[in-house]
Amino acid sequence: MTPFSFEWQWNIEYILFMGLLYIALTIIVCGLVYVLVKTWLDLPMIEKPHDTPPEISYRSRYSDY
Amino acid sequence: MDSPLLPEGVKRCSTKAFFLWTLPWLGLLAWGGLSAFLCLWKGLNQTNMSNIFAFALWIVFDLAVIALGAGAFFTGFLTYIIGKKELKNVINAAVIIGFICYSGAIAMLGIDIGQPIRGWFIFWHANIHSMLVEVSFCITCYLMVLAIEFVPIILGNRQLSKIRELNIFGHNLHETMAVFAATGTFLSFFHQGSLGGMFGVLYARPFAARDGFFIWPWTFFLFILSAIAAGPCFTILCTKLTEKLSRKKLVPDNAIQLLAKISAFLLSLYMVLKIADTLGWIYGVVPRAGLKFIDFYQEGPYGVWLVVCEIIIFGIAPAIILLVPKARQHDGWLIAACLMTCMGIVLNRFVFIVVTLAIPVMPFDRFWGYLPTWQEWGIAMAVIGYGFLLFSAAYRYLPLFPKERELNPVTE
Repeated sequence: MTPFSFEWQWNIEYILFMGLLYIALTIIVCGLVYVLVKTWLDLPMIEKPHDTPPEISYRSRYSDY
Repeated sequence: MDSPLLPEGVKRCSTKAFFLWTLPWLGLLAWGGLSAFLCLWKGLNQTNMSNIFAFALWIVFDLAVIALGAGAFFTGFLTYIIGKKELKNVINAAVIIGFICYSGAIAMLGIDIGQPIRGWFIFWHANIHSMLVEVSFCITCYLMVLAIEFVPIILGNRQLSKIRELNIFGHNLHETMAVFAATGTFLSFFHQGSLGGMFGVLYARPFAARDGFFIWPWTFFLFILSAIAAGPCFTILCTKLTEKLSRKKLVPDNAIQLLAKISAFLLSLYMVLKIADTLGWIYGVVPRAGLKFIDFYQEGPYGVWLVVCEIIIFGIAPAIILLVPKARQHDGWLIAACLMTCMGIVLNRFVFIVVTLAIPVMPFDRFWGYLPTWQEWGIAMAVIGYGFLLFSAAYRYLPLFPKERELNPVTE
């Protein structure tokens, strides 16, 4: 349901209930977009020509997190 | 055959042995598939649900797995928000358990609503005064969060991690995980609570109705507390089961002990509040409805033993075991206490769903019994089969336990 739906009523209950849903969805989508953009920006920085990327073990990476 | 896909430096059983291990779980899935097909094709007349038991076995399973899957959000909260570093050794397993529980619950609900193709109605034509709508919103959004949390674990696969783009994406996702963990905590808090609140506001059913604070009945808070107490116990149980089956140590003791200790305090607090809630109900809600406590336990198989089991055997007893450091450090006692805690939470959900509906409300009503059909059992068992399959595959192919190699050096 959005504010454009015919059932929508402009009162605090609708704004609060649906607003919290849309805030949660926005955070999830923004988080994903941020990660995708950051990955996109990180790609050329790490890329080295004629050099295959070293196999980074998930275990050695883990302590970085 | 699949050795290039296995994590480096760890030992796994042969492909044949793994295939044989998956057979019983595939069998459960097939049973569930047939049951789902029958329910979708012929309708919900394949079940023993009725106008009396609109909530039945599937909802008991749903609420139970959602409570047991709370280990994911709570461990994520402790790891990423509170900063308990030792839990990083168990967070992957907790996330996968949570994902299994929530996706299984949603799949089961897809059959339960009878018309899955109209499932989107609950989002688009939302009744904003319904706690079930809030639950639907939150569990759907939280499943998205769990899927996002699952992605870096999948990308940690030996072959996938060789792909540089995916590697960077997984790394970035992991670094942003605190945001998703916080969102997951918010969503879980409200849906665990609203699942309880839903029963507390059944004012026409004094067995379930409760007083409360502002718009929230006490069951709202009790369901949250019971879920965050039992969720870590279920994570410990799954980890210990994997350790027993693989005959390896997979998680350092400090991580398990920390989870058990936190669970112990939460379970103890839950038991104190649960007892207070029960007393408040006995001396408040029940007399106001013109009834006595014993009136609810006189018919059918649901006697006072339910209260004794829920509060003493599966509540106070495991809380005491988990509170005593020497007891929780002993593997046998720890597993027993975690098992009892999980059984207590399943029993609590069963009581709130099935017993609430079975007890007559009007003077001319009678006690109603309910036994699930094989189709209902089939769909519930399919969730268990799916859980075993996904967790087994994740253990085999993904870096589920980061300290596994360190704790079990391969000697050849």
